[in-house]
Amino acid sequence: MRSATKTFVGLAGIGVMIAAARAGLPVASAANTANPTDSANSTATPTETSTPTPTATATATPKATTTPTPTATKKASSNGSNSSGSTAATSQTSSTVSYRFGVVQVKVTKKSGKITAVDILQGTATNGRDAAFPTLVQATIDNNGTNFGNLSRATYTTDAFKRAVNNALAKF
Amino acid sequence: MTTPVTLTPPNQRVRLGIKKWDQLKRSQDFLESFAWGTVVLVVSMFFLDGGAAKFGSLTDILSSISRLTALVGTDLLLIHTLLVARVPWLDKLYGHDKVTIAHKKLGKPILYIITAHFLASLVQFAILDGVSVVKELFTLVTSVEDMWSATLGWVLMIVVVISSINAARKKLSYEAWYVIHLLGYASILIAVPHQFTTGSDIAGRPLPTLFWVSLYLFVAGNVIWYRVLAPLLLNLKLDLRVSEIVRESSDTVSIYLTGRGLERLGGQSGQFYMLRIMNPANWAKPHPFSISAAPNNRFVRFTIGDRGDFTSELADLKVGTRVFLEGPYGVFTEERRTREKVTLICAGVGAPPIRALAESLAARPGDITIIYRVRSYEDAALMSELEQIARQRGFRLHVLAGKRGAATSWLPAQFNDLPDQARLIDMAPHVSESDVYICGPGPWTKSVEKTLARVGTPASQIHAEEFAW
Repeated sequence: MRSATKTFVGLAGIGVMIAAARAGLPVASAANTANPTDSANSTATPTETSTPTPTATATATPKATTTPTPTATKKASSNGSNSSGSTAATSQTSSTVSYRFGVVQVKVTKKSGKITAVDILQGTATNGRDAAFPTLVQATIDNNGTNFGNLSRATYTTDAFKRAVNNALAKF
Repeated sequence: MTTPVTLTPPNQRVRLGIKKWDQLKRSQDFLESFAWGTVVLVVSMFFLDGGAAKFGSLTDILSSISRLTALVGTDLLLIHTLLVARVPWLDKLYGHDKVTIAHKKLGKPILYIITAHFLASLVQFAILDGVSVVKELFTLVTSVEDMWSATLGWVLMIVVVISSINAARKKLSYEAWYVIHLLGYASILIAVPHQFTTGSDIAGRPLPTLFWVSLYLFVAGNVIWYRVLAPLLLNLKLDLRVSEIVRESSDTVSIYLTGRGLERLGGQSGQFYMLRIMNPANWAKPHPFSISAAPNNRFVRFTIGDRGDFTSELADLKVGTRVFLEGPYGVFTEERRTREKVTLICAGVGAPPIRALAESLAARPGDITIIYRVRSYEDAALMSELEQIARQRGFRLHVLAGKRGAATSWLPAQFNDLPDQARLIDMAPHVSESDVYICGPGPWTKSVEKTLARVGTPASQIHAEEFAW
């Protein structure tokens, strides 16, 4: 490659990677606000599930991009009266999900539309894969749902866990 | 030997001018940018997935290293494989020698990157599971699907790289090295599944899966077609046989091949083929040889110097022996010419491609100067043919016969009273404004190139083919 091209391609490549890194970050944190809408779509009774209060949205991502915020506030205002009862913690238990390395059953606890706890009622995974459960629980609470990537080396466990959580969420 | 040979008519047209060189460089830059672009793309896909946030804890860092090295390593590995597929569009842009050198250069770095991936994943999982690295390795290999094959693939890769280190190459026979090197393909193939079943960046993601599957298919398609099927089909059609063996000098023979529909072979003067003698002893040992006569419909001719056990065997080949050719390869051709004047310089066994070029190059009388360095005039291969071409086409031919001169000189001892550059300008007054084609032993070629730099021939006009394997 000629040196001018090398410089240009090098700088452009680094630029693209930095841009990708920056673009990747907001998506991850925006998942906090976007996710209630996601899980709302998958649940049977959307009106009850997604009730982020305006304050919660504001504290979670002060610099949230414009798209998630209107959705969130719209939901909040339309659900405002309905969701007054759900400020108390409620929990739902999933059915038992079995997969190739074991079975998973979870109890999801929600308060004010946010997942506050996930209890593993049954969680078996062969060969140390159960080490993934604490990480998966934390990821579910952090993302307020199952919109997070696979845990490497625990792809199947992650998948089974997500199915269990979604199953529980659908019962709210 | 003094009977004149029938010459193939030279090329009638040739495109000249520096624009041709610029276009070549532009195409090369585009292709290389595209190749590096795939690396940027896979890293960007990792970052777009929020990768930059995953450097918090030690296990996160290890997981990120493992993912990044896997992505970059695999991408480079596929490029590395494509570089040996003998793809015509790569050969046309760079020449077989440069492509092979790039392939060799990439080998070790790829192994280091893949090793980093292996170690980072292993340590990360060991920490997550709270067990020792050895125990973790055992667990991974025995119970996680596709992981035993991935690990084996890595081990094979180490074997391939070690066998290709120069020190090992000298100890190994070509056949042993070749068989070990074939394991490289096996190593890639058995490592593929774990990327799609457990790879965090690929498994269950449609876009990355599409990208990687198409990349794999593209490389595999090129390897299977250009490396295996195309040469096989061509040779079955051509059915090339040795038709005549002619001794050219005390240590060179010409091998004439004939077959059905030789025009299908294509090729240009200055190019070379991988030649396989299809007898039990030699079919697995391809050797590179340049054609020593312009491509024509009557025969293919290689003129081969006696330089080892294989080349000395060739003189005793039976007429009718089947021969497979893979090629043509190389850019030591008129394709690279940009100027009206041409200087052809060769030494000893380097004569064949120069002889073919002299026959083919489009030229008017006086455009071309040929310089032929030999030990003795009487015992020089293709000498009478070069003289005939020079006479018929009006080219200057300088034969430099005699003992080796000073260590830095490429001229015989009796010419060392003047600097090489003075002698060169004397023989080829147009050398600084001509295309120069050099073919000879490596150090000798380097010495000619140094002289050319002194007389001011631009690098874009100097063409030398390196045999690098």
